[in-house]
Amino acid sequence: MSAVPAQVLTFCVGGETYGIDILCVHEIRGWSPVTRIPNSPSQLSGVLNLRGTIVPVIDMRVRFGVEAGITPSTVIVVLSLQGARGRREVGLVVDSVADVLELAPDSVRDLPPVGTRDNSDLLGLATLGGRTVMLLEPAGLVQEERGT
Amino acid sequence: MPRKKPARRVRSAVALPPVCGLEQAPALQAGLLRALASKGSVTLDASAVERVDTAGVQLLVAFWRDRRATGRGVAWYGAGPVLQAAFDALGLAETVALAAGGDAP
Amino acid sequence: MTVDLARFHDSFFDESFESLATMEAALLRLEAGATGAETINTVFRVAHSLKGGAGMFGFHDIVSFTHTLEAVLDALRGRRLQTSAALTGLLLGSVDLLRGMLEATRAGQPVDLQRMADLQFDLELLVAQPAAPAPAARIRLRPGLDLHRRGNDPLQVLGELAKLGRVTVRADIASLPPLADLDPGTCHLAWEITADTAAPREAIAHVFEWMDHDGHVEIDAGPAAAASSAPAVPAAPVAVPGAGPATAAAGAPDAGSIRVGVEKLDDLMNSVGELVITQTMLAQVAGATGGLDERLHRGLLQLERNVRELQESVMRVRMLPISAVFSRFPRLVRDLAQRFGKRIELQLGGEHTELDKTVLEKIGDPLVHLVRNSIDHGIEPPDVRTARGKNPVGTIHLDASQRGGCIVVEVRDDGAGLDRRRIIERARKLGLLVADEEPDELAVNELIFAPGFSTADQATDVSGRGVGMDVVRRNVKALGGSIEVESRVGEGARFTLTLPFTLAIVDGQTVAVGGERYVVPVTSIVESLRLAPGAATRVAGSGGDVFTFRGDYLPVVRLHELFGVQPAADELHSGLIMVVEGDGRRAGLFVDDVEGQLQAVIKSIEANYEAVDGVSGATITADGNVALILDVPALVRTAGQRRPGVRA
Repeated sequence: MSAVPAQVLTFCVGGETYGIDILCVHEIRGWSPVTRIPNSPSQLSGVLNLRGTIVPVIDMRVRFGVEAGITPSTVIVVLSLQGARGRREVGLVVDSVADVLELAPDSVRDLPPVGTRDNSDLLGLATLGGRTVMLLEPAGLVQEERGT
Repeated sequence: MPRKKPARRVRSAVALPPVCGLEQAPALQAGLLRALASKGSVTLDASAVERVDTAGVQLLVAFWRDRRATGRGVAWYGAGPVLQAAFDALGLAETVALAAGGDAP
Repeated sequence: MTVDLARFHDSFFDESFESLATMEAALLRLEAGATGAETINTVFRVAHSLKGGAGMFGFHDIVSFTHTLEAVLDALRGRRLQTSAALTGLLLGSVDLLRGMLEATRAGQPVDLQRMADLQFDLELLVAQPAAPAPAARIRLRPGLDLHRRGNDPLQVLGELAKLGRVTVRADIASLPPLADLDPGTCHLAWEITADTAAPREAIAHVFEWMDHDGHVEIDAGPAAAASSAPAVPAAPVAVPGAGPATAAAGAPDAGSIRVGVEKLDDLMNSVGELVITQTMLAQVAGATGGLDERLHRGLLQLERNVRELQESVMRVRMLPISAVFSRFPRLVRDLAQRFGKRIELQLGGEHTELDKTVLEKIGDPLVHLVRNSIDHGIEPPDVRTARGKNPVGTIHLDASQRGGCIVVEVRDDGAGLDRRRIIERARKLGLLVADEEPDELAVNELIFAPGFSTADQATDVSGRGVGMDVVRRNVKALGGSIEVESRVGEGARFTLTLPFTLAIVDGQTVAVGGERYVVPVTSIVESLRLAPGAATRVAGSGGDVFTFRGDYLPVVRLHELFGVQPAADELHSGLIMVVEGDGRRAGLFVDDVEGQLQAVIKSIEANYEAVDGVSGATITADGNVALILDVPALVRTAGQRRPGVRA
């Protein structure tokens, strides 16, 4: 398991709260139409123009298998991730963003095995402000977004 | 290295400055002039010399020649490679007895 | 090694490769007879800085080798070693070795230590060999009286002189006044100097240059020459340039330039792209609003002009002179000419012609192939040339120029020209020509671009490997360019490459498929047409359609099926067929409609995602959206067509 981030950005997808290391978050932008990529996995909603670079956008609602719709609160969280090939940017479509929260290292619990889903994109669980937050492993997101 | 002979009154020493160049020439010249008339043998202590130019060499040559002309002794102490190289390059090593390990009487 | 240092690796390697090219160029000048000190100094400086850089990063093998190299160069600089073909050969070999070592080091591979040790041994041998007995030069030096005060030090000058050869110095202290009367600012000494040096008189004079102004310097070069001013060594006729004493500053022609990472330029391009989008948006808003304030309208027009100029300026910044590619040819031609026993002079022209880095990176190989071809097949051996009444030294011209929106590079030789008879013979053997077919000249010239064609009598390791002009043409076409050949028997051949300025921008045609918009590069479009109902034939069992176009059956590529898009209409006759060509094959793209044209700045999808089948890249449209650029050759391939159309 990767190091536990000190601060996480929390966002909602299908009523659940997720958190991601704030250090990966490049920017948050309002939802805008994306350009579809032919024959790509369904969770990849397409690519968008981020100041001249082409950035793939993953629809987290599709990824987590929940109802997807576009509301005024729908946003795209753009992550900047350091990978083997250098820095890569990827956008996540989420229902809304919530807060930036401090995270105590001992407040994170490993995820118990649930169902058959590959949970390599989840870092663990944390209880923050009375809510259970699922912490995302950013590297896991990019790995899965490729291939298939 | 300790001095080979015990220092006696008849033997005086001139300590050469680290840089024997044009800028230091007046002081060097004055020091050498004071020693020029010294009755006994004069030791030029070159152990501190780090740099030398032709102006400095010229003073030392003149001093050496003038001492010798009056039949008085001059000796080097601690003449290192810097000094050696300078006198060699200027073709003056023999003049000041620095050629091939010559420690003058 | 710390991570911090590793950050500088890339720039160390980049700079090292660049300075090796500088070194190579200087060595070639040296080989061509240049003896100027600056040429040798340039080589020395490169070796020296390479050693320093390699030392900093702990690349010990490179340090060790450059150290040896430095010793040789120092001997050369000090005229203790004379230039010879063997010497420049070894030095050029050293450049190759260093390049290899740098490449290996960069890739984290072991360096070729055996090769290094061999070369190092040869170099050391060279330095150890006693220099040819050098004639002595006698110099009488009577420095001006206030020499010291003027900051001149004979000690330093004699030190410099010692670098030219073995020096014997005799001092004259007759004019030295008594210590008490001595003025330290005045030089009372005089010298008579004998220098065993092969250096020409000018080189010696150069050492004493500053003294000469305020002193008396007499140089008798050569033992016999009592007061002659003739050069000591007639074999080394080039004088040290009469520049000032400090020559180190020269030889850096690009002193006014700075090194900028490509990614910074890309950022700049992107920002300008954003600006263009904003400007377009403003123009659209203004157009929709109507009845605009006159000043605002003028301002918007001004903005549009400024933005366009800015965009062009930024594009120009990315442009590099073609000399970056040309510079490798003198060496190549030298080596190959030597290997083939031919005498060849290379003439470069238009080296300052600028083109985009993207193209520059890709034209090297085709050009190398063409030049090799000229050396191998074009230029005749010296005896043959003499027998034909030609200059025994052949000439290859490499010229670049700008024509319209294109770059034209010409490879021209005064060799034998294309051998029509042999080409036809070979073509018949390969089955490219029917036995009795007598093609016209144009057709013969085209034959050499046929796959697998090569007329070399025996396969050499230079050309004639069967991969030949067809590969060149394919590469050039992939760049969106073209290649043509003209030839005159006995007079030579001329290959003309026409290339786009840049690969960063493509002229595109927007097509609509359902709600999607795709960009088709204009260079790959043959024609757009509308099929009459029933004009297409469904090929039994394949699910594919074909239609006739200029006498060929072409397959239909249904983009919407390939890309999984809901089209506006499914019937072939209700949409448009865009006939496209890629890799020499044609197909008809079935699209809903054809929309506007645009200049598409090509963006990578792979940078943040991955390669997408049927798509070569993306671009940002005027409204700020992303449009995918179609990979026409790939799409045509999916149509499963092998030849450019089956005869109808």
